[in-house]
Amino acid sequence: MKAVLTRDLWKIYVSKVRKLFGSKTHRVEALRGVDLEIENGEIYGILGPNGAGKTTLIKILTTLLLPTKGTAFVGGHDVVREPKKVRSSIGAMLMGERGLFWKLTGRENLELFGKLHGLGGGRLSSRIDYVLELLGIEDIADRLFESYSSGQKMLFTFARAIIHDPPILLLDEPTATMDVRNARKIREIVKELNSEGKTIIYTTHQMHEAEELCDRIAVLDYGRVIAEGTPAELKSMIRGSETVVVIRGIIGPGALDAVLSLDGVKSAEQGEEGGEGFLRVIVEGGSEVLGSIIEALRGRARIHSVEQGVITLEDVFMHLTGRSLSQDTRRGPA
Amino acid sequence: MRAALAVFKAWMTILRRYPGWLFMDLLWPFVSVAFPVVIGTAVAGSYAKAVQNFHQRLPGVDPLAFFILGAATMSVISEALWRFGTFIRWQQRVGTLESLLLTPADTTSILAGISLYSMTRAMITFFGFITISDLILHLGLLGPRLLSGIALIFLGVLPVFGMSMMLGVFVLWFREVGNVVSIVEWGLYTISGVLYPVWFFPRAIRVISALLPSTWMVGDVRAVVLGTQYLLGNPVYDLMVLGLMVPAWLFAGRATFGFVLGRLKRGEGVSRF
Repeated sequence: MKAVLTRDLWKIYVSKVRKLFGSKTHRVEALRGVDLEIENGEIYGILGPNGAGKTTLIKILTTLLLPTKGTAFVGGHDVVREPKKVRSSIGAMLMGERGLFWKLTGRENLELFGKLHGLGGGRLSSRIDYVLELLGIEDIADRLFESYSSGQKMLFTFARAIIHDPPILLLDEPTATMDVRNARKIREIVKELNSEGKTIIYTTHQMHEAEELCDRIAVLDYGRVIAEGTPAELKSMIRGSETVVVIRGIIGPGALDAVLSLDGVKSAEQGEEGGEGFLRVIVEGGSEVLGSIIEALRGRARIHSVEQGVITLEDVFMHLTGRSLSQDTRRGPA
Repeated sequence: MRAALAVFKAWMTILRRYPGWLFMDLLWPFVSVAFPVVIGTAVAGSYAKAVQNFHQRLPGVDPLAFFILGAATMSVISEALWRFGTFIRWQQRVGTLESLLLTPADTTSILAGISLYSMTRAMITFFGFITISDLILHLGLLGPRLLSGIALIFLGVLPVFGMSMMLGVFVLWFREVGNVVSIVEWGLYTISGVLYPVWFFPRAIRVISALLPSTWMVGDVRAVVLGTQYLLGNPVYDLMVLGLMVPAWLFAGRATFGFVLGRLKRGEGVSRF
């Protein structure tokens, strides 16, 4: 296997990876036999709720954690046997705005991490200038890192991940605390870097990001890959007899439970958008089920509109697990 | 080497921004000297009687010079230990430890950069403290013999860095730095002979003292500068022991550090604190 992989430079390969945490008396299995094969030049999304195992997987691929079982190759290098070579070929952003020295300026931080990646002299200076300009942060680069806003810190942390021009990028929720404008900027840059041939792993629990960016997506739940494919392939999983119905209005208590108890309702999620409540329901059967839903909501909701929803990756996750992506699963399966 | 210098430069930049840190570093050895002087005076009834008591044990040696050299040397040791422990803990808390471990730079290079920084900071304190003390008390410490003492410090601090790596292991393992460092510092302060020559200790404690590079550093710096007795009675033997401690402690420290880092990676990683 290794001989094949080393020819496939920059490819990422994960086989039967398991990761156990905790003591002998209280074991948590964060990854339960994950298999992935990521092609060169792909943007590969890992989608899952908090606690699904996304960060653990990324940490194994960056050599910060060792797998309990299984093998993983990054850029043709074994993460256990060749960690230094793995680290030379990757850039990673996995601690949000943490991870840079607060008492140094943004530029000094980039200098330090550039040098730790083996850059120096004119090459380092030109890379720093390029990255600062790319992210539009050259004007604030000489301020202390601690003086930046949360979004600016994230931009500098992203800059640190790409300072050495790595062929592989591992980004763990890179836009998590960014405002809309900076998040859009990061997504544009990710696309640009990918167009230059970089392989990118992108974890998120925001479906629109995954849909916009990723060539393929693995859906991770409780440490297992429960589905994998292009966004279109994943969405096609709930086509056929299933429909997404969005009911907007004032959704009262007990409405969600009432809908979930109906025959033909596969899953449902309650939320709020633009000051209005909504129920997003995946139904099997069509109009007869819709009638029962409206009947069940009588007295529990004031309905403003009922519409057929566009299938999203959130619906795919609900279809597969019966749960919402926003649900925290860190305590493990019930 | 480039990685070590990069880490060193980054930390020196931070130090330049916070000169108050050096002022605080300088206070510690003054307190260390005041402590035995005040206790000795209180026990004896007067400073003159305290000096008489001291001379019963070490005739002809100025007690202030004895304590000042011990405290100055100990400040170097303390800085080496404290810097490592707090560095690891601090980086763990702010997330930069993971960032550093994400780079292909050797952990040894990063630790070497920190060592270089802490040594520079320690020597600033050492010189500052000796100079101020000498200017005030006219003890005649500033002279060519002090250069020999400094050479000894540079040799002796190498195994201390081995010890500090082990302290770093404690910090990573127990996720605690303040109490660990305080206990280690005060333990070393006592057992390394800063307050009294180690040959007055009971045999069991002397054996432990002899295993610590700090004991040899403190004793030999005093022997070189003040003319007190070498621990083995001969400078060549003392140097041989210190020389043997360099690879032994450095190897033990690095191996322990690497082992624990591996264990942590097999578990929950270094980011849990």
